[in-house]
Amino acid sequence: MFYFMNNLFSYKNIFLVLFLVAGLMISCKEEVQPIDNDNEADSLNVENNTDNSMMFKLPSPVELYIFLWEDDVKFDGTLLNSTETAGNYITTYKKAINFGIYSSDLAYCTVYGKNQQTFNYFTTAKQIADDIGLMEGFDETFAKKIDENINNADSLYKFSTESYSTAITYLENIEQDNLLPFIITGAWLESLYIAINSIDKFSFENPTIMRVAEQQMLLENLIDYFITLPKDEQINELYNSLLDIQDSYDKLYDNVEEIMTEEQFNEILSKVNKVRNNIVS
Amino acid sequence: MKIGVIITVFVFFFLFFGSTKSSYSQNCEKRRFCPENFGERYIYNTQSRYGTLPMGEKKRIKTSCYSNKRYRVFVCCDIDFGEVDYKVIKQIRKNVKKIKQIRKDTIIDYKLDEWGEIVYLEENDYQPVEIGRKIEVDTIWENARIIEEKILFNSKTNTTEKNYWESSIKKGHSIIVEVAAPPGDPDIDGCVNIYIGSRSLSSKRFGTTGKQSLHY
Repeated sequence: MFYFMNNLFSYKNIFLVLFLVAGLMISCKEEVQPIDNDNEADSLNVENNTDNSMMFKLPSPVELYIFLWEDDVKFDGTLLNSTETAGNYITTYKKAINFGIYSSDLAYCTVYGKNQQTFNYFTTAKQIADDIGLMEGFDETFAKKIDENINNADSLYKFSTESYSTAITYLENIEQDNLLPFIITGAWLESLYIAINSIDKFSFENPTIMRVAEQQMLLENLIDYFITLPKDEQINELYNSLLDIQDSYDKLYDNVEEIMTEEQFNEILSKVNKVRNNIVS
Repeated sequence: MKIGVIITVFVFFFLFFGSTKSSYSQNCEKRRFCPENFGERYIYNTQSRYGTLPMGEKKRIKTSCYSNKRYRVFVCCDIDFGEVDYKVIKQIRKNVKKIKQIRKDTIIDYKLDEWGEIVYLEENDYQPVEIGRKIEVDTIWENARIIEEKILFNSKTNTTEKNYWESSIKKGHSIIVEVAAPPGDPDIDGCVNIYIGSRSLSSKRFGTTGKQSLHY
């Protein structure tokens, strides 16, 4: 054994190893290709297809709730998905999409300063997050922060929005992000459901109508994102539901002056309610 | 035996340098660059993206801008990684009418009586009498969806003092941030921060305290 070691470290072998390492280093160095980064047009490009290498980032549902709050829309607790139904969701798909729904409800409660409900919805969202193995943003540290600031609406707003963003950022950065499409769809859909059902009576002057109409661009981005995903039964089901809502939103393109007609509003309302209620049931 | 130690050190030396090929990209989701660009009262938490990008690669990220909000977008990376170029592109989806088909039909005019009925004469074997022909063109339209893209900001050609894109949005639209990593070995990744910040134009309650921005 000692003889073998001595042999191994002979000068001859050392030079051989050095030679091999140097050879490997040279062969691994690739030619640097300059990137072609100036195929831009000064004015307008037109394209029709969805880019598979594109990443998508939807604005957080909290932004829509802030608009509602700013427009003096009243808080309606009956629109929330009851925390008592959280135990009914068995499959990972159902849990992920309802985690999105509860996270959105949590954001709604924090924006309106409903501290006790914020605590309840954080606890429920955390419970589902634990079940699906999502610790980022919904760990004990955040739970403690929420618990300690139960009487401070501004801190609750800060920590609860931070926990959602942390969870989403984490999922975006890991390779197995198969929960992400369900979570962001659930969160977005719930915000639209709450916004559209907060409108008592249709009126062109109602600023919330514009916010509901603006959800068209978020829906289009969400659908573009779904196009890039590998398809399975759950993705297809959700994708088809989104396409159905988009069919109604597409009619807004025909409008000349008004952003949305009452008929279009009712059609979108009906479809959103149907899809959302199917998810939470 | 000393030589054995030297070789071991030598091998570890190379292994170490091998591993540092991608060391620019460690803990990228937590590293932040360009804090001087944050501005006042912007919230970056909800739409920004922090991750890695290989040298020589381009990435596009698409998001939506709400109306009645002010947005600031910029991209920064680890100074050792190099300099990233980026563009902010406005995307507008439109439904336009396109010609699907042009149909040409031949219309035959027949001799009519005083009541406007077609005349069938015995000398014409009781067939209608043709008095002329004309071609009628019928255009069939269809709705097609197109996407228009307009470059709002290009870091390469930007000559202003502001090295970011900033705008108050009147009508909501989608934007794409296209990021190009510096040229080089594609095996080397670098940390890149794509900052998309927004603030309300009408309310200060849901901004940040004082003049701070919110990011983490």
